[in-house]
Amino acid sequence: MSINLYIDPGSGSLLLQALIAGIISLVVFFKNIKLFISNFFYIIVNKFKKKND
Amino acid sequence: MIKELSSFRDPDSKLQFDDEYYYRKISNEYLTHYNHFKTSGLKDFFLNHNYILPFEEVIEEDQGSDYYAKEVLKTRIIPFVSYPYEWSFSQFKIAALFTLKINLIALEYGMVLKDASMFNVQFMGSMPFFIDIASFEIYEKDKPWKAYYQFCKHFYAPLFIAAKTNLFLPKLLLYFIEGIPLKEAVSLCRIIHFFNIGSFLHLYLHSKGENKVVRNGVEKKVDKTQLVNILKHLQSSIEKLTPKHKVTTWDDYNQNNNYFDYSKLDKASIIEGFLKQISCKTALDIGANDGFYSKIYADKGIYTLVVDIDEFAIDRAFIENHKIQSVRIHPLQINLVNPTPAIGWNNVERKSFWERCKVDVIQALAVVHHLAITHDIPLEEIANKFSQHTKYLIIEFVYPEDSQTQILLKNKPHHCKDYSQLNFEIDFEKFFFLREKLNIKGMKRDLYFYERK
Repeated sequence: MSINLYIDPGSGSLLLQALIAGIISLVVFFKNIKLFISNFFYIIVNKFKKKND
Repeated sequence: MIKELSSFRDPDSKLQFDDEYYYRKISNEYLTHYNHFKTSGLKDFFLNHNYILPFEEVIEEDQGSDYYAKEVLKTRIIPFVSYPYEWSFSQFKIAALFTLKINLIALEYGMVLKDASMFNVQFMGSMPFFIDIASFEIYEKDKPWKAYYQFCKHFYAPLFIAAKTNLFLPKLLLYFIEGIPLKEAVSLCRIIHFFNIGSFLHLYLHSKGENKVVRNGVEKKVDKTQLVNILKHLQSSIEKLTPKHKVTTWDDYNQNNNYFDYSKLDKASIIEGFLKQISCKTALDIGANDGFYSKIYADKGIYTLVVDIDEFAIDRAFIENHKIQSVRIHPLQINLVNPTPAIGWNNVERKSFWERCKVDVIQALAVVHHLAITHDIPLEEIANKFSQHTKYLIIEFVYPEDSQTQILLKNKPHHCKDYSQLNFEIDFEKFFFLREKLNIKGMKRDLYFYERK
């Protein structure tokens, strides 16, 4: 009989959750950097436009 | 009082009901969590936003039963309990997002969902609400989310395979009552579907942990920020899921049919006239398409189940009514010829569609000719079935000479004899009294208003 029948299928998920959480934290970190950079350029471009106006 | 047979899985609360109320008995073990739920302000927040139904605490008088409880929560019976395999895609999506939203709010109040069952979300009309108060427990620092796997099996996997492969695949939940195993969901997809962080993490990578042996004590930490990140990431992944629109038979029926505009108006005014004669609280609109005529009922304050086989028509009805926050129109995608069966333990855990459906009035517009001709269901059988579930019946008879019926009869010429107005009246009047019968202007169609004998 397969040993899988005696395993709570959710227990592996608890272990993987930490890995998934880590990857998502990285994704969020890089997204924030991307947002920061795009905001930075948006402000500079806007200032430049205002000066020209 | 009757025991609710679907509540046996939760050791922390048991459900009973009578004609008017549900009684949720809270276990002594769960009391600490329940008290936190009350005192933290989470209960009030949810009540103020209509995320849960109002309830009152009552004293349990009959403690001789098999289950002792200090706290019993009494809440009004809801008009109709629907199941996820009866929801349209958008309905399912709203239920998933709602579960994540209340979990994020709970975290702010120091609580977390200990389970994320799809059956814990119900709809009042087109608005979701959460039914299982005993699902909230006090959040323990750095603990992974216990219900993550369940959420993905109950919500993410069905939604993902519906959006990427086939809209009917969430019906697999009729077989997988505890959620679609992630490996099964992955096997239904193509590799290209996982070239996306959301599906890769929550489905593909997650499925690799399914059925893996984990030694006791090996449990990794997930801090609160990481948990919030997971929930928000699930939110944005689910928000992006949209099914490809395919043209279906009944999708544009209300815009594309053989009705004249004045016939449509006449039909609506006849229905209004019928409804003025009676007082009713609940209705079932069969073959309702996107619920065009159901609005007449909702406007009169009648709670209306809008039922149709067409996924896109029902989805449109849901989106439209969800937008206006309707609490009276409850769309459901059901095939009347093969309605939802009873499933689960002992075949009583989740009830069949007809078992749940007792209404004051059934409306069946332009449906009977399909049942009788296309699906070969005898008229007497249809009348008998309807009479078991309603007091009043508003039904449209489409003449055999009608252009649409002619198309059906061409494919089933043997019904030319038995599908007649005389036979219709004989069979329906075995179970119903005729209150009124009116012709729809400009159409070879009559509307009958019946009352059960």
